[in-house]
Amino acid sequence: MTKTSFFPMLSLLLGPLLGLSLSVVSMNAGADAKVDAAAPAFTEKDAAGVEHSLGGLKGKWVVLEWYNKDCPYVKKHYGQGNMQALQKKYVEKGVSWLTVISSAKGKQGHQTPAEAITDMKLVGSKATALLLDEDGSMGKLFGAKTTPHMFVISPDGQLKYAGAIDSNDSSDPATIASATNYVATALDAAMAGKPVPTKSSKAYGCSVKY
Amino acid sequence: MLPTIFLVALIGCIFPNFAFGKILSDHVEVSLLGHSVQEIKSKELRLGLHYKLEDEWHIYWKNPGDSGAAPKFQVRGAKLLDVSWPPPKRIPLGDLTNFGYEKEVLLFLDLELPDSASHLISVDIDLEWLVCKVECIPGFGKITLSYDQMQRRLVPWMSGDSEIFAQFQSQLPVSSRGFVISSGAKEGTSFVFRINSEDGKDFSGIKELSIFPEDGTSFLTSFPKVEVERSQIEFSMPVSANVSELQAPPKFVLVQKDIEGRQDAFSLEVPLGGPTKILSIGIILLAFLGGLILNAMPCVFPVLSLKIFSFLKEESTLKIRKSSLLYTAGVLCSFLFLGALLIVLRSAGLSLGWGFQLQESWFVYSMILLFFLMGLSFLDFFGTDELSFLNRFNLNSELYKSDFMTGVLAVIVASPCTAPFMGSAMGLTLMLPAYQALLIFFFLGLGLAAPILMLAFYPRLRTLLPKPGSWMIWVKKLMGVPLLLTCIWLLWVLQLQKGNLAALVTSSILVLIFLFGLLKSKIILKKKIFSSSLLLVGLFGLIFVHSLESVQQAAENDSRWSQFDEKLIEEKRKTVGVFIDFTAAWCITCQFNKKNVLQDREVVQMLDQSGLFLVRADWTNHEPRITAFLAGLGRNSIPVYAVLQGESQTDLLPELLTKDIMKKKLEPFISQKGF
Repeated sequence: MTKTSFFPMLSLLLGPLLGLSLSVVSMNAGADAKVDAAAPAFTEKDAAGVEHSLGGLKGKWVVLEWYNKDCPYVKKHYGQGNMQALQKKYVEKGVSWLTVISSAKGKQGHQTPAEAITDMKLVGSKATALLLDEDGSMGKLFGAKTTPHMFVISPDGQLKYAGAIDSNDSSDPATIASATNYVATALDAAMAGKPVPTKSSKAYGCSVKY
Repeated sequence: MLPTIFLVALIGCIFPNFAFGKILSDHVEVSLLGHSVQEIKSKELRLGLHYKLEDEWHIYWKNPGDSGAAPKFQVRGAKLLDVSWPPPKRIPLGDLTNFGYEKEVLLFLDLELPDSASHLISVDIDLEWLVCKVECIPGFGKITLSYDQMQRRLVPWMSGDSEIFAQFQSQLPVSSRGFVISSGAKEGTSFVFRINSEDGKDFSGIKELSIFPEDGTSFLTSFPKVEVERSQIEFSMPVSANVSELQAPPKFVLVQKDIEGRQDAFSLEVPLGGPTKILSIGIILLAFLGGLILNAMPCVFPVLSLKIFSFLKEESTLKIRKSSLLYTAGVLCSFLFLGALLIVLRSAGLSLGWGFQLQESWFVYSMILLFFLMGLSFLDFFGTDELSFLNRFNLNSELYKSDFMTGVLAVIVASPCTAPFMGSAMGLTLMLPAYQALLIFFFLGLGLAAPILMLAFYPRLRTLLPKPGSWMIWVKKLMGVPLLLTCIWLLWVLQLQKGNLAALVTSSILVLIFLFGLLKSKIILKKKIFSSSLLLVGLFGLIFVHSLESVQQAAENDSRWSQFDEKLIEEKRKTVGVFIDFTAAWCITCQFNKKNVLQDREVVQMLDQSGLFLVRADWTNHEPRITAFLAGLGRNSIPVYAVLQGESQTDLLPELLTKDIMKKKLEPFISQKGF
């Protein structure tokens, strides 16, 4: 094979190979949960060992909050008391607020049941319960990508909101006051029977440590 | 000297996050180097912020991906115009993917300096970023710089690597070059669009291709489906389930690496409203109508009338039907052949559009001879049995053997006359897969053959036709006139394409043919010698004309209209708006619109008042840049009248213009100008 014929030969070989290799079928790594559709049915144990499931929560508004105590974005909302205030406000209105930890064992944010109960008290969480999703199944079911990642589910099991907690993805706590809190607006609208203004947004935060 | 250094070092130690344009933080170092400032134009500066990262740590692109956050900038003392990002890398993290940078990157900030009395301008930049390995650490910092406008440099001067600015700047994505982006549409869970090569760029030489969406809310980070062919690449970008319709044309960064390892990055903006993979009934109807209307065009009408005459003479319905079917077969085969040719040539990389035959002078020349011979023959110039090759085209109203060829002839002569409706149907052939494009050509042919088919199969229609008689001879002679007129017009086109010499030579050949015809009855010449000598002369003319150099289109007398210049168009559309008239000498509809509407006094006044930048894109000869621009508008045939506004707003006017259409379109522009 002469030098001049090498490259045409090579490109002839590469061509079809290229065609094959570039036709990669899209990988469905965690499909997004679809808003205005039935929320995925989950079952998970909380730190106290009590089981919570979507079916069992029928008739109640549910908020799911993905949590990782070491993530700077979670700390941004907890450090200022923003998340706790939100939890208190809506739990008092009858919402079932479930904080979820999907960190795998050995990864950042993972907590044993005992550690979790202590931590909840320490940060002053007003959530209804803290679900421990060690195997990440619930996170993958909802397509939770970040901490925090928020979901609002109506009493009849429909997903009403999925995405970021608010409109400013900075890690600076000073930005919370001027940002729009999507969870609050979604709950206020949906609970009053009105359409939700922002049904979904791009969630921000640290990646969930599956 | 020593105390100063000591002082500076002391300050550097006390304020680790703030040291004259350099920030030292956890796992990342951000600095503004002396050579990282470039004055783009007066009052505009480009800064290169250098982020140097520890091994295995990364920061994020403008769309960070599934998690993370893009670096942020808050500028005080100047106006932040734009941030330019070098192309990112995919950084997988388990099942999730981020887009970002490792090791180091330069992010470019374009600033507009304020008017200031002093030549020294002070600018503060508040920075925020997120640096991650697995866990993430947010970082904050401030960079202060002083820029001396007179000396054109930073004060105090900080030395640094001068190469790095140029290196990263050369990596910045450029707007797409060498290919045309089709419009995209949502198909199922993906957003699909294609890029087609122009000027024969071959995509199979690409080794690695990555594409990054700027919109992280609508697009998922999972790998898109990419199908590469020689002159086309199709992308299927996975879309978030919570996005029903895209609100704005999405932007992507395309990074390609070729076999030699060279990397190029392009920024793509995909217009919305893409091609439907399903050929709708509406498009088929459009093609059919286009073909039908072609029958009324002066090029086709004579051939059609001749065919009708042959029906009038014939008594047997069976013969009529057979003849019409053969004619239809001729039409369909020719159209499909032309369509297939167009598709094959395009996929081989040639940038062609419908009407491409007419951009070739040898075709125009052949058509001149053909129309001349046909015109003369209609006028019974050559008698009834000379020139047997003409018989094959059924010019003597004999049914059967020549029906198929009559159909072929009809298609050949139809080319100079692009009818309305055809333009949009033809444009779609650009986007659709081959077999669907051929379907369009099929229905076009069906439309052209429809009148004949109708007459053949609906005897009642035939009763509407007048009875045969000697009037037919006169009408046939009359039909010769539009044919000869078309011939003259084509001569004018040839003159525009190849210059006066070509037109002169061709006219001389026509005169020769005419003389031959006159003299043949006087001189006894053998049929064979007659036809073969004509052929020789014709061939000589063909070779001669083709060998001549193409003539550059002379500037139009009308100074209102400017020549086609893409850069100028892109600039002007953002300020005053642009009106583009895509035309060619061989396009009858274009010339009609020009004479009738565009040169009408009232319309000219309106165009002046609107303040629009007027462009005349002349497609008489092969012009790949105009072809590519047309493709970008979703068209590949003319006439096309486009009004471009702002960044991306494009409106296309119908192929047949009227004063009212122009009035409606220009009104908003005129009222804006306050007339």
